[in-house]
Amino acid sequence: MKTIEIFVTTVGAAAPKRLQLELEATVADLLKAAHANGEIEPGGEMLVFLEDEDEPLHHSRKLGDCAVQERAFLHCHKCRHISVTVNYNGTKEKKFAPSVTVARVLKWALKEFGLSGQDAEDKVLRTDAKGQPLEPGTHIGTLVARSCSLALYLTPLVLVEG
Amino acid sequence: MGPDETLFRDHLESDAFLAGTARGKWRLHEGPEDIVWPNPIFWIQSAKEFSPSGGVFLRFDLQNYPQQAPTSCPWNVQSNTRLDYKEWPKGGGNVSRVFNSGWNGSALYAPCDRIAMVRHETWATIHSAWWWKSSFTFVRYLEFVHNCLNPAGHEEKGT
Repeated sequence: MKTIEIFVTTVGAAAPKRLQLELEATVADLLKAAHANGEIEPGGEMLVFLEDEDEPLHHSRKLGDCAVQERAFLHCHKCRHISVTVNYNGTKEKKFAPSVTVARVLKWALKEFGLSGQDAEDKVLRTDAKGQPLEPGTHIGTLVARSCSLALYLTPLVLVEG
Repeated sequence: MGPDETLFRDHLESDAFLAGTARGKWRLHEGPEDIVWPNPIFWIQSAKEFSPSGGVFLRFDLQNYPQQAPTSCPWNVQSNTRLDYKEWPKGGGNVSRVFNSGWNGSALYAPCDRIAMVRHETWATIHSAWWWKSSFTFVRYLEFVHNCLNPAGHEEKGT
């Protein structure tokens, strides 16, 4: 039976957790394994997404049948969508799956605000206007614990100087 | 093996390091058995506009890790010498600021680099997420360099 290594993130987790599961395992097995390691709050409906995919995986499906491959990144979250608001010189809003990365939201926001080239390169997203820049690979689901909405700020990169 | 090396080798097995390796963000050069302590060498992915090969090797000095912050230098793994300054990554944002051979030819100008941290205490506030703490692992340093060389808003020319 072939075993694959995958990385699973969920609410509040700073880094993905590495799990090893058989390809024959189901998405429900994945949830159970992740829970066994303490990543997921017990109780309530939990959805599982592949990174940057909009549709959750059915719990009864086998990993090997739903494109979960070696070294895949997945996300467990209670929200089906997260309503993301980005503030810059105005406000833009869009719903994303919790497994969407900050990098993808940033690219969307740059396009929405008409930024390109150098104007785009020096922009980062933050959860508050003066906070630390978000890591591009972060799943947005890790940034919201209870609600299914997220406010972000598009701000200039702070240069290393002085 | 000293406690610094023991801890470093534990962190090589951490989920955070292996997740970055799985994403193609970085990798250890050669195998763990080839490490000449305290100088492991890592490859870090880069946008080709900043480094035409698509990455850069960094030779670390992790003496007294993690109580003491790391420092690193761009490295030529063929000649096993410091990378020629002409080949250091160059570009906008923080790229040419961090890879600044005119400041110091053997370290990165970074808030998590122990040589650069000297006399830059204001970075502890301005770049608090990156200012080295003994609770960090070397993965934090790799993240800083990777973010610098791969701005999320950057698009490769010609794409």
